[in-house]
Amino acid sequence: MEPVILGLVLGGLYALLAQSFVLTFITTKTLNFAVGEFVALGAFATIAVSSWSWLPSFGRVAVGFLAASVVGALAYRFIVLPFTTQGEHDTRWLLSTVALSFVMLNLITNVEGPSPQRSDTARISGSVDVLGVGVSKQQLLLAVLAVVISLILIVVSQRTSIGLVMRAVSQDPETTSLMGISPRLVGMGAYAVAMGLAGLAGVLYAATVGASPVMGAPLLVASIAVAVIGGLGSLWGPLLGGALYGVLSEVASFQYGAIWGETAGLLLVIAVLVWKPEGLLGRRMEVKL
Amino acid sequence: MSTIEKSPPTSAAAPEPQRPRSHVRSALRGDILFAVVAFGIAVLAILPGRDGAGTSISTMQLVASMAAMTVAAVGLNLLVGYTKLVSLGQGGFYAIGAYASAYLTLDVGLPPLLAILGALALCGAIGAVVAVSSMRLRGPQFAVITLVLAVLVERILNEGNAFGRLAGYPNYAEHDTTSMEPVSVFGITFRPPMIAGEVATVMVPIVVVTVLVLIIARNIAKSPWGSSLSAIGESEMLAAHLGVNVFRRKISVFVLASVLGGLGGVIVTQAFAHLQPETFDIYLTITIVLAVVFGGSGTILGPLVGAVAIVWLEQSDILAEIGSFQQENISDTWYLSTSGLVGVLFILTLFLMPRGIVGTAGQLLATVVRKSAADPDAASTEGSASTADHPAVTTTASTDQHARVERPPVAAGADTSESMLRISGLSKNFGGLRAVAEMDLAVDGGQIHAIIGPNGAGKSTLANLLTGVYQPTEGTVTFLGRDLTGQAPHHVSRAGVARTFQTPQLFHDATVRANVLAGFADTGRTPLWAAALKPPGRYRRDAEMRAEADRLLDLVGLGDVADLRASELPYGKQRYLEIARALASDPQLIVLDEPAAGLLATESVVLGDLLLSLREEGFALVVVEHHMDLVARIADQVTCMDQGRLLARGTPAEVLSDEAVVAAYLGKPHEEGTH
Amino acid sequence: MKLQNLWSAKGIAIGAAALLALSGCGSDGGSEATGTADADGIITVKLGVVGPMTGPASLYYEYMDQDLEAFADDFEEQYGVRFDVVAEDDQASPEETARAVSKLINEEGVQAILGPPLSGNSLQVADTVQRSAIPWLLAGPNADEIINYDVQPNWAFQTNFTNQQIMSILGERLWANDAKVGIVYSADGFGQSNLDQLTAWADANGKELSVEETIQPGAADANATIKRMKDAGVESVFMGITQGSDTATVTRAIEQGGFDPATIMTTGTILTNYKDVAEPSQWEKIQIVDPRNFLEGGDKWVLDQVQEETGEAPAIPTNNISTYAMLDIYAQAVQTVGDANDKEAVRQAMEDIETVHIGPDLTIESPFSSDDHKLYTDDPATWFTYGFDDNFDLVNLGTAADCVEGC
Repeated sequence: MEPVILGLVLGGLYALLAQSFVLTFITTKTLNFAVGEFVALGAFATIAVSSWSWLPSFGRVAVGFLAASVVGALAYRFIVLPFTTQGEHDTRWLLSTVALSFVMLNLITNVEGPSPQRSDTARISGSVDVLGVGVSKQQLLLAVLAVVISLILIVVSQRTSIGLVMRAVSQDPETTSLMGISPRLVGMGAYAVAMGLAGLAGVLYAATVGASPVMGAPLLVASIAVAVIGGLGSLWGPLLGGALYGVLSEVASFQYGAIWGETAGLLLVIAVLVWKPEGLLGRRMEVKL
Repeated sequence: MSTIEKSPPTSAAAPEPQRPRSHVRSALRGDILFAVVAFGIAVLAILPGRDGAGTSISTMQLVASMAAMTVAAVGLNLLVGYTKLVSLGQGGFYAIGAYASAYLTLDVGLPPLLAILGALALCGAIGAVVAVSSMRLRGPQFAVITLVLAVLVERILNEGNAFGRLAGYPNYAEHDTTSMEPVSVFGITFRPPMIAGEVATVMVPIVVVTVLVLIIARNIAKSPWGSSLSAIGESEMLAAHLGVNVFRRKISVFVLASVLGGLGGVIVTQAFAHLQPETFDIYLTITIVLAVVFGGSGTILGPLVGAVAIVWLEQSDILAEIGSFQQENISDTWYLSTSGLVGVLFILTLFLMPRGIVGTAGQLLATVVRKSAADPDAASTEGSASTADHPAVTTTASTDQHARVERPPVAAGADTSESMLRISGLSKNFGGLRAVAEMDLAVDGGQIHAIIGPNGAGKSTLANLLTGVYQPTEGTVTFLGRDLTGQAPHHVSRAGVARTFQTPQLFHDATVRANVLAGFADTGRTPLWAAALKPPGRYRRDAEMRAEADRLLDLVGLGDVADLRASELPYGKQRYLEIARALASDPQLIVLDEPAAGLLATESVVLGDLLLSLREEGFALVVVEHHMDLVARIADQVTCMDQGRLLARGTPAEVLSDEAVVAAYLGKPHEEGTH
Repeated sequence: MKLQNLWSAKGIAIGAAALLALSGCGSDGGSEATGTADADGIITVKLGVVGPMTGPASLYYEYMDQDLEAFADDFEEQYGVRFDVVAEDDQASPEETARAVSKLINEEGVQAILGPPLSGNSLQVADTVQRSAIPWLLAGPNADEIINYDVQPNWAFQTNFTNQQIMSILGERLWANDAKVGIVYSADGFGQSNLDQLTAWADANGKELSVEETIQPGAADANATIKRMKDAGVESVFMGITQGSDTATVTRAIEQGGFDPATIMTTGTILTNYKDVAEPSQWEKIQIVDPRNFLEGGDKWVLDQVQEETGEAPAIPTNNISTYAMLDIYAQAVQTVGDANDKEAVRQAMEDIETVHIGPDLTIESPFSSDDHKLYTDDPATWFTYGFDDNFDLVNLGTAADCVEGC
């Protein structure tokens, strides 16, 4: 039982980041490989305003979200969008976002220094008992947030026209632009929300581990893995993927040691990609001639 | 009336009898020149180390790193540049090659050369497994699975006791030394660049191997095997229709790329004599991708230029100096140092030089050349000066119009005792939907059979069943007495069925001529060894294909634009180009899926002429078409489909006047479906 | 006697310098690094420094830089040795390190090499430096695997403690009362060396290591690791972790998992990057052993001096001290030989050094022999055990020998 609960909680962090991959993929068919640096950006933005005593801690968290959000929208406009113009086989965005991650990591390191910094905003100490298992309150908050945010996104995308617009833009940008919807704006909006989520995850994660330039990098592979397992095209995907990845890696860690934990997660990604490339909850696209 | 007379007179580049041989000669000259220059540069690169001077050691190490990165990047370029599969796993193969060759030598005790071959074989085998398991993946998913592979390899090097883990390989605890013994072959010891006074002899095989890899990669890129990779990159379905066994070819190219990745690692082992897992981290794999794209993906020299540039940049002081310049002049904290500047440089490359250094330079050069060629003064002065030397360019006037049809393309006299193509009882279900139901069809050589019907009637599905895109649920397809039912597209293509697509599927960046060249059966049939080693027969065949491609281009009226890029052609001409490419495969039946879609009325007339001329030459044509005037003009037989079923069949006049057909087109509910 | 020699030599140098300064022909500052005494009697040594100047690991270059900035004048004054530093960035990559070291040795013609600070990169160039016959000043790496004493004369010197030493100090403490012992080590060269040496100590002393677990740099949690320790009934935990922030991840998991081992030991690496990301309740029980006295005397003086001269906190306190010791040893050796170009003589002088100074009032006598190039001994009586108070300030609990049964 213990590994299952701890796995679900750990999966929450990955799910939150995976959700940002899914959001950008649904709308723009791109993934931002610099997500790890947006995690750090959010964390440092919040630290930068932590001395503003007039700002309630909710506001400081919002600053972390917004900073990542604004940079995210600009990143889409100037780093991603120009490299998606050559049709569906165009993968230059993959390279430009990797390059963006180099630049952001370097800049954050130069500005903030390599050492981790304490972040007290939204910090909740101690642990809480969940079905007889001690769980850190901070991690539990992240997991609950991942579920809540996913549900909000799902409801919004099903109940409002925003969801329809998002999918329409990715499937047929030309037609949607004829209908007066700018795919560019929708893409920027999606990146703003997605990177904002990454920044938010960064703020909450930094309250535990401290903010450092490299804090996001180790999360990158795991959260892409989670997004791929669930299916890049499904907003439910990160929740399922996060749960599976988290539980499997914790169970393997408990049984065979920490090395096997991460390895098990990676093997799961390979298995899913081989068996169902579109992810467990993804729908396959038929190739049309 | 035949197309030949219609084709503009400017298209009259003559098929000189001398031409193939002159092509052989110029190709040979080009290849020899490339090899000589490559070896020359290689010699210059290692010349400073000839006496083992201490001051040359770091330069030799730099050259070795560049060579290793080049070889790995050349391999990756086959995937990223040609096949358009972005792999983030090349660093993993680099690591496997490096460690396996060291391990097989030191722990298993194989002779060094055998150990190297073993390591490469291992890379190839792992590559094959990865290729099979990632067969259905493209784009981000392919990037992710290969990234996961690289991460797993890194993990194994960090955690696997056999490889010394973080104590490196070799290490004192296990091997009593931290350096590999230099390899000795035939009494020559190949020493790494390490100690002043020792000549770094290993540099000779390193640069020789690098040059050979470049030559082989160049041969492959220019061969039909290389075109098949571009075809897969464009669309796997297209490649299959060009007769390429996509499954096997993707495995081959992945294996080849993996082996080259491993060879890069072998070079590292030989040059540095000691391995640390920290070398093979995730940034290595990304750096190889950067090298390819920076230099120019899909170009022959791109990986070399990119690898050399990136390795040089990362170790040079230039970026560090730019970093401190910013610190002094802009801000002490808000500045970019080496890795950030590499990132900026890379983004700028993508913006300003989307084809990388080599690709963009090549494009500029081509533009300049074409401009000067278009300049009448320049052309005439140059022309008059060189007339005597280049007869092939200047014999335009003497063209014999009939020369171009001297060789009928195909077996016009094929066995006609039974229909060339016979379809019976063919059905296709998609889930609950019956897209094609119990269709029969027979087409003979020298016949045009049009298939018409309202949208959603199942016409395109029928075409796709015919060429093997879909497996039929029931029924049979027989072609020239052979059963083609359910055969894969490349089998259908090899059996002699070519096709064109609703929206032309061309290699937009390649020249018009290269597009036709991709249509030859060689694209699917050339074995890898022949592509890589380029035996003499290949030169002759290339020249033949070139001549034949030019002939086909003349036939469809594109002879004068053979050197333009396909994307520069107007839409209508792209359709002709697709037909020329279909003809190149030497087919007997051509399936055309809505060839007149998007054409102007005048273009549609020319298309009709072209199709009629093909009929004259004995081809069988199945034309799926909406334009009734075109159908009425060219078709011998018309089949009208509705809701997957046969609605009417007969001559154009009969079918087009059929009430049920009219009703179907006007969308009226018709009583009994079939006729 | 020996001390007298030193003082007299120093006196002469200072006297000569003063005399020359008075006579108005002082050196022009940008003097040539000839390796021999100039007119002022100052020997300028070309010292190659290699380390990660940029990037996430840059702290490991920083400490060398800090020491050179803070103490260069002192060494010049004391021994008449001036360092002309040629720095190369190894970008924390083994391949770059190989190139940087080749460049320093062969193109720059340096007379000694300080660094690289990371064990993995040192291992990459171990053979090259050894065969190039150049004094190798390893003030950072703790891995024993870098030096192979079978190769003589040996050119590498280590002034940090080594992992083998730490295990011989800690082994008894960890296994006291036949406790079950577990190790958490970081997945890097330092961590692995810790594991290897602890295993070796256990084997040699007939003990058994119950649990061994890695932690990846930047891992999100260590819950499973701690749970495994708890389930195995581990009573003594050793953390061989490079980054303080990863140590914090482990101690967080210990607290959260309700794991309460009798002993939690680690090394001085916890002094970097730990405090800011941990809570007092998590470090309450942690103790470290170290051969240095951080709280008084010469070791403390070095750290204070770095703070004062550079205005920055010592980047890696343990390594700041070991770098001071290393520069002291090398400068003395050069002074003794009188010519830094005579590398073999300098090496021999380092090996034969009689008194190493760390600050004005801490000395270590004759630390080296031909098969021992480690500054510290593994006598528990000379090592210190520290705990931490609520502000994460070190508390000296006594020598390691005093604390064998716990402190």
